Amino acid sequence: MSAIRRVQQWATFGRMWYLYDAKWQNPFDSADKIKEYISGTHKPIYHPLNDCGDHVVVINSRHIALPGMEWERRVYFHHTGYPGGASWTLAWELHRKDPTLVVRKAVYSKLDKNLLRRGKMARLHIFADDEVPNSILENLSGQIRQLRAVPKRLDHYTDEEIKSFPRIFDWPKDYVIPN
Amino acid sequence: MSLPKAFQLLRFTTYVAPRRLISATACTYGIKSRWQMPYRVTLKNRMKEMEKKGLLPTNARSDFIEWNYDSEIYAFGKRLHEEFDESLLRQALIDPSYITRETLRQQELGVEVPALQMSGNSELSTEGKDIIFDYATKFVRATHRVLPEEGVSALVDYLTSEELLSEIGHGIGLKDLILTEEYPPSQVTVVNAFQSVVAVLNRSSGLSRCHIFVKDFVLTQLVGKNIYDIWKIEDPVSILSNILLQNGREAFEPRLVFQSGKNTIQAVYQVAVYCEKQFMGTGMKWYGETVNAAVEQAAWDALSRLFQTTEAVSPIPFEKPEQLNLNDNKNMPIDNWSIDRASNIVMC
Amino acid sequence: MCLLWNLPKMSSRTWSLFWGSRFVKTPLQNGIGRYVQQLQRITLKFCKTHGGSQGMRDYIEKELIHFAKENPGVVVYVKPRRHRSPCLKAEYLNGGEEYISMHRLPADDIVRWMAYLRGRSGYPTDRIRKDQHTDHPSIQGPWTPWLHRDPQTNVAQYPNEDLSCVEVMGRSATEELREMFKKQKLVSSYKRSVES
Repeated sequence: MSAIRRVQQWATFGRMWYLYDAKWQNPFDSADKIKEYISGTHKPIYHPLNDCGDHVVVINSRHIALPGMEWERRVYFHHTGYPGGASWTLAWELHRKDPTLVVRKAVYSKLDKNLLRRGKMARLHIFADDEVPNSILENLSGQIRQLRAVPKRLDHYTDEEIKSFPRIFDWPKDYVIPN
Repeated sequence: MSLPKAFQLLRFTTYVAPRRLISATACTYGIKSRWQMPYRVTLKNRMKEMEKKGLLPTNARSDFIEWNYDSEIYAFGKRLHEEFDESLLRQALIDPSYITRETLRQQELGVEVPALQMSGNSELSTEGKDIIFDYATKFVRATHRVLPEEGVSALVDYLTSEELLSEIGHGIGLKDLILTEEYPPSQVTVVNAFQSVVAVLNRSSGLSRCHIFVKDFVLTQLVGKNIYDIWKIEDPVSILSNILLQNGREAFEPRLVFQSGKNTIQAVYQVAVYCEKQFMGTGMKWYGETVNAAVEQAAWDALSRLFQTTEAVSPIPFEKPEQLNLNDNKNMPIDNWSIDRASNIVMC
Repeated sequence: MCLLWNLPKMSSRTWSLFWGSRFVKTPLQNGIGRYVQQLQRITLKFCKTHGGSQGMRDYIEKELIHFAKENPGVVVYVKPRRHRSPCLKAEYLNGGEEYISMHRLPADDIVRWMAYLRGRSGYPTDRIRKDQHTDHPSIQGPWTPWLHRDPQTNVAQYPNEDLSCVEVMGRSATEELREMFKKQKLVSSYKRSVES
């Protein structure tokens, strides 16, 4: 193989590093997106025998948003293997123990169930907050777009913005707003 | 656990099993003694080794009973869709070594003055060699008009090399037809015969027909080859800077345009060279490789873009050779290569 | 065929471990300049008396002359051998050889086998890995991850708000509402000015 072909190969199969901000995102929908990147299906060169998956760095996994009643209703099952070793953990409990685990388990369960699964998971780096080591930040070469807009809380708006916001009707001047 | 001495000896003695214990095959053919199998394996391995080293005698195809040289000569021309002069073709397939051997053999048989009505192909061979070289040079120049003359001569050297011509000679079935001392015929012999066949075609059907033959069998070997595998550019950086200097341009400037996984072993860096803010070519660098290597590749890429030899150029027009402008004008040499002149040349 | 039936079931990957596979190829760029028939000679071996050669004898009597006329580039040898079963032996320009037993085959079948041998390239009949093959997979250059990428991603500081946020498709309800409010304001101010 000539030097040029070798370079070509390296360029085509070069590993990209993507950042994903999980703030206010549904982890299960996000897992569908992340799965494409870590297994390489988003590339036109994808083939099941190709090892062309990219790295994904997920930040703010502590601030994910589960839909509906999922925090209370979703149950993670684990069995130690010993009699009486079964345990059921609610999503909010799991999240309190380790804020990266909900995302990790969501992605892990979305991946194909074969021997490549652990290797693909090794390319997923999850951080609870936006404090990422510099050595990992330097690797980044792109960012995955979020799936839904991050809502802005009322206390994050300035007073001016709140005042200028259109109102459908005005309260009577003598009306007392109960707190 | 070691067995007693008597038992160890017993392993090597012949043991005749009672009939009900041995298989039907063994009953029919008898139990072969234990040395036979290793003996045969040894013989087989020795045979394979000798075959690999070429020590086994190979019979020439003409030694077999089903062999008719006249039919073979007839079919040779028909197969290639060419009309050969038969006597000339026969002469083209006679290697001088064959005449020497025949003369010696006749002398051994007692013929004082051997009267052999045959002459070798050495004269035809030189004629054919010149035709191939001449046409290949013109053709490569016409199809790669921007390529420096050094590249053209490298391509022509490749096309007229002994390895390639002998491969073509084998490919049109000369191996069995050549009358020569040794079998299988050596590379040189096949090359001489092939060149002679070209010369015979020139004498019997004319030069234009001969050129089409050379184009179809020799020049088509350029298809699917990378020019820079054949023409090795030793120092692309200095060549590129020399060309830019000659053309009064600024020196090129390498830039890092892309990177990923900087702190990993699979780091990727894309380097591009720019000249006067114009993109010229790209190169790659990865973990553990120096920046110079990437710049060298980028320079190489820039050169291949300048010489219009990227993978995107249109294929060589083998189907319409008459459209090519074949002449004796040389291409620009690499030391005096002009970007402006190259941009004026329109490739068809 | 019996042999194949007895083989255990195996995946195509395991199969090609034993049987090999190759890409489509042609000797010496055959067909780019001109097409050269790769069959250079064929030998028909048969017995003049044995019943197993009946079909071969019929073929030689009736069909062989047509084959030879249609294929002047192929040298045909006919080789009678006493009390041995008939066969075809084909030799190709690239040195390949093919030997096919014609024992007890009728002349019609032999016509077909001859047509088969005539059209072959001489390479062994391996499994073809893909139906098409090229030395230059792409004239635009092979794909790389940074093809058609916005160059600003190379100089961006991560995490990056602009590259992260959802791409807005159309207007949101809030924006719609704001616009309606503005219009309403304009209308009311106009009315007020008219009244005054």
